[in-house]
Amino acid sequence: MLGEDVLYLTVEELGAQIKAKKLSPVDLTEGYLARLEKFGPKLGAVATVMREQAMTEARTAEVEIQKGKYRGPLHGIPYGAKDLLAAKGAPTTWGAPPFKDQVFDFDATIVRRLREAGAILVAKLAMIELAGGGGYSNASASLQGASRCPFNQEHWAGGSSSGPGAAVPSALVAFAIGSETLGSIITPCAFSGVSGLRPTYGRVSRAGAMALSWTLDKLGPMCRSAADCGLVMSAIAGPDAADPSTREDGAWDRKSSAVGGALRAPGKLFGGGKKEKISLAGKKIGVIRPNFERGGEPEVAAAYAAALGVLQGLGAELKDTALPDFPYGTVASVLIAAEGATIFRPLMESGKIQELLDERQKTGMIAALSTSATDYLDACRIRAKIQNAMGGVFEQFDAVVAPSRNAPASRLDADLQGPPRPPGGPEAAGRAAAPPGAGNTTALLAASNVAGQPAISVPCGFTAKNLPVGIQFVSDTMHDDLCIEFAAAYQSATEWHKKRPGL
Amino acid sequence: MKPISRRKFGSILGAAAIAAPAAARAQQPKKRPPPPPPLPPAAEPQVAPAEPKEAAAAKYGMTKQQEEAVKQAIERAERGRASIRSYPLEYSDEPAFVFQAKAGKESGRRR
Repeated sequence: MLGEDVLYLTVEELGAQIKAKKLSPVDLTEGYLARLEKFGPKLGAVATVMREQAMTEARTAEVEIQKGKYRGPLHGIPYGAKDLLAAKGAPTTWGAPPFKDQVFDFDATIVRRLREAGAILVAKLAMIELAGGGGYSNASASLQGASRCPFNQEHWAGGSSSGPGAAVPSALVAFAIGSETLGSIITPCAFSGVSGLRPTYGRVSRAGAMALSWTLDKLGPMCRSAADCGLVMSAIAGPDAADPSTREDGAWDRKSSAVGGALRAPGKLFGGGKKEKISLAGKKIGVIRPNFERGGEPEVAAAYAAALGVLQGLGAELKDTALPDFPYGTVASVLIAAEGATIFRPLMESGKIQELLDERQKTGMIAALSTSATDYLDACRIRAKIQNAMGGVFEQFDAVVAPSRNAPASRLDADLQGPPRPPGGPEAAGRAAAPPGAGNTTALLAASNVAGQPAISVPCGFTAKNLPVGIQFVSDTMHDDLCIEFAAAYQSATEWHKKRPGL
Repeated sequence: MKPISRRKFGSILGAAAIAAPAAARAQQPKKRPPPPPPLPPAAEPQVAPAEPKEAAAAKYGMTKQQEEAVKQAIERAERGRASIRSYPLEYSDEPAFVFQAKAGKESGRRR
């Protein structure tokens, strides 16, 4: 039986050992399956453990590698997928009771691509029902129950990719795939201490994934290091005829995405002995300074300030900036409401919407039907202006940073929706599908999602209650590699991403 | 010539659309309008946008509390949408999507 230390290694480190035939994919898979079965239910992290299929795939990987047919850095690596991704023959519940018996006879493109890269699907992971499409008021709005932050289990793991949020930092899997419409990767990464990338819209195929908003949904990796996100992207990014939103130029060239070449040499950063700090000299970072007095916590402000100091110490040029003035949250809300309403209209009309767990989800979806076509089109028109304006931000900066969330994870029993926020303001992020929490969704989150820009969240500290704090790096469209570079540089100088929860 | 916003253009057009028939009516001798033709029977009750509460309640089997919650949610959303409607848009501001004509999967004339 493998020790815990091995299971906490990064994908990069595990891959290096598997390639060198020092680590057996069968042993590794068995190790993660045992942890999934032991801790998964306690953390509310798991929808379905794929034991039989995973062990078969692990044995195949082992034979292939022994024969010298090594597929790449994900070969033999066990992972988990948010339960909105179709996996042939396995339940795909979308986290919602009306779909508890749903089984697809095909794999989502992302599942197929990971299988082709040799990765092993060990579990479908928990999620907020229907990714919170109509809004939700509590952490238990999931068929699998509330997912717990592994570092403080009285608090929520974040949503709607809650299972990946709980599973990755507790080493139940080597990495996971989550989805984001308006914060569902960034939030669990912030709340649970995960390093996760929300890719540029259209870079990763969503074929076979539950749709909530065709023009906002993204799939992305949730890992234990920023560099691992790049490794996973190399397998999942690229055009797909089954998803018309995917970009022809979306493929990921891992060798061309590097900070001073550091990421070009696997092992140099994290697995090869002495760790070298990555310089950010010459890089320009725009700094968003949220008004924490309006809705945030001083401990987050302190961690964020310290993180900025680290970036400065790495040589980056920091300059305060502010986002162009747009109703980001409201635009996102209208897009999600209109698209989600048409996607889930059959659920509503079947009457099965009453089987959902969260009252706000039910009524929010029905209310979304009142969105008019002209409101939707006006939102789309404003969105075009937002795209241009947000693109302009990156004429000055290589990346813009902000706290991933202005407050740490809420308690499991908290009313996540809180009091209504003022309408139309930059902080009035979409109530539908926005990870709830009064006033702590940053405008940058909504702005970059609406603009389709990439973002990465990595841990940058912990509160006195042992709750993780995250910092997000946003870059221009198709500069996902820059997000990873900045975050990897930050992680080359800090240890927050290596902290383990006491399970 | 001063550029005109699309919203202003729309409002002028709307006013003109209302005003034109009214002016025409004013010039015609007054007579009783004919009764409207009977509507064909609907296959199922239609949800009228102006009556979301009643229609939705019937259609989605909502409780009284849910009806009230939906009403409140719509009111909240309306306040947000007001900021969208009041946002200054120019005639040239097209939406952030592009329709592309392409041969369908069933087309026999694909290039």
